[in-house]
Amino acid sequence: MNILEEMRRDLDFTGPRVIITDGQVLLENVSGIVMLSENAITVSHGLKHCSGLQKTARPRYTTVTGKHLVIREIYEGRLLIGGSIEKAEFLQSPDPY
Amino acid sequence: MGEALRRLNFYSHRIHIKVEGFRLERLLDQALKAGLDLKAVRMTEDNALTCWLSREDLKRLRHFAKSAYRITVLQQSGPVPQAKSILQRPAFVIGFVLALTFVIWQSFFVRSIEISGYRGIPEEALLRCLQENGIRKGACRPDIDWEAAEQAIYDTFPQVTWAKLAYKGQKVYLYLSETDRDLYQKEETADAPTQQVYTDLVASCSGYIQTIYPYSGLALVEEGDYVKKGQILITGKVPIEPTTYDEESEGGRIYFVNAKGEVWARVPYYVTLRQERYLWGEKTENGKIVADRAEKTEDQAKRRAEQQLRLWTAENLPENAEILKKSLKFTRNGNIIEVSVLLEVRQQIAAQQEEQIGETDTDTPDH
Repeated sequence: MNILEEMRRDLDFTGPRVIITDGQVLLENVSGIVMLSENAITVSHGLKHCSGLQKTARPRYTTVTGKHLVIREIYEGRLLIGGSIEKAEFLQSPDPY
Repeated sequence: MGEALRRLNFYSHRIHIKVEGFRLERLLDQALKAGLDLKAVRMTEDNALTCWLSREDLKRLRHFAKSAYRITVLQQSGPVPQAKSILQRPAFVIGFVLALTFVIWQSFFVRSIEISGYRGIPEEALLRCLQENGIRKGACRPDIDWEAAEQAIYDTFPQVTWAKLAYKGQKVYLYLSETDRDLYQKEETADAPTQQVYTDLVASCSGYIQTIYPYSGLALVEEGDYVKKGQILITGKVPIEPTTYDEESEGGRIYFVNAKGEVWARVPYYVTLRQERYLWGEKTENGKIVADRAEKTEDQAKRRAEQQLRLWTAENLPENAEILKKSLKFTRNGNIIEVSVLLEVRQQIAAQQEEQIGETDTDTPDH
């Protein structure tokens, strides 16, 4: 990956970004909290605009699954989740067309 | 800067709350969008969560929660609530302020006086002089005229060449430096003999000086010199040679110290040991007596001599002694074997000898 590609990804504030380290997950560009429980946290990252014959916008979600999950910090569109992390999934609603 | 202020705001007064209600994620979503700073959000039950937030954010969260959620404060932490809780106890505050005032008030008074550097002047006289100038136990420190007290010490004790008064906390320190000039004046008067003493280091036995380390005083011998028992090795009488023309006109002065140092010397010892010439009732390996009397072999005589010599060194040589050379000479005389031993021992030979100024000259003892 060249440096321009890397900078483009770093400066993209629209797409979901997940940084997973040992024992914690940092979710960035979070636009809302959709579902909350002790074993799973689902957040929304807003709409993805698809260009094509039919211009559509589809919502994107990220789900972090684990045990004894704790939101260590919520501030300015960032969620720092701690606990025993099992997996992180990117979800997207299907294209209606 | 904004991040630092946010953290300061949070840690100065943070509140642990419990939120109960349905669809808690909706409330958190509103909080996220409004930019509230929530920490340690933990789902405790299906419809309850706990979290930490600042006091200002709690007000805003209550606004979002309205009557749909119940918010209970569990705990408050940080310096601001602690200060408030302390201020709610007036007796404690008054007691603390009084104790603090007492400690500060006490620090203005002299508790002890320490004097250092004096030699000839008695401590009581110095304390009396300080007391006359307002420096005593219990005196108020701001009222003390330090310069006047220092001047009074110079005036009262002419032999004081330098004096410094200082304080640290409740303790007053007086540092002094005295001249020896007054002592010589006393020495001249026959009626009042001085009690000033100093020490020399003298040789505890005769020998050849190997190394000499004078820590204090003046070395009078050099390495390789032969010294006799009682000879002064390092003297405590140190002449100060004048370095300017003015001082030269007054003549040289002598400074008295307690001589200290290490003097190692090679000391010869001549010892004569005696042992029986014959062995009686010599036996073979199976226990049979083969001869009533048999002359000791050279090896047996040497072993016996070594044994006697070990006993002699344990009794007669100091602990730090080190045997450098050893020679044994056997002479058979009648029933006796005489062993002449010459030992060369390395040992420390410096011994302290006290001297008095103005008394009989003990610098040159009889050797």
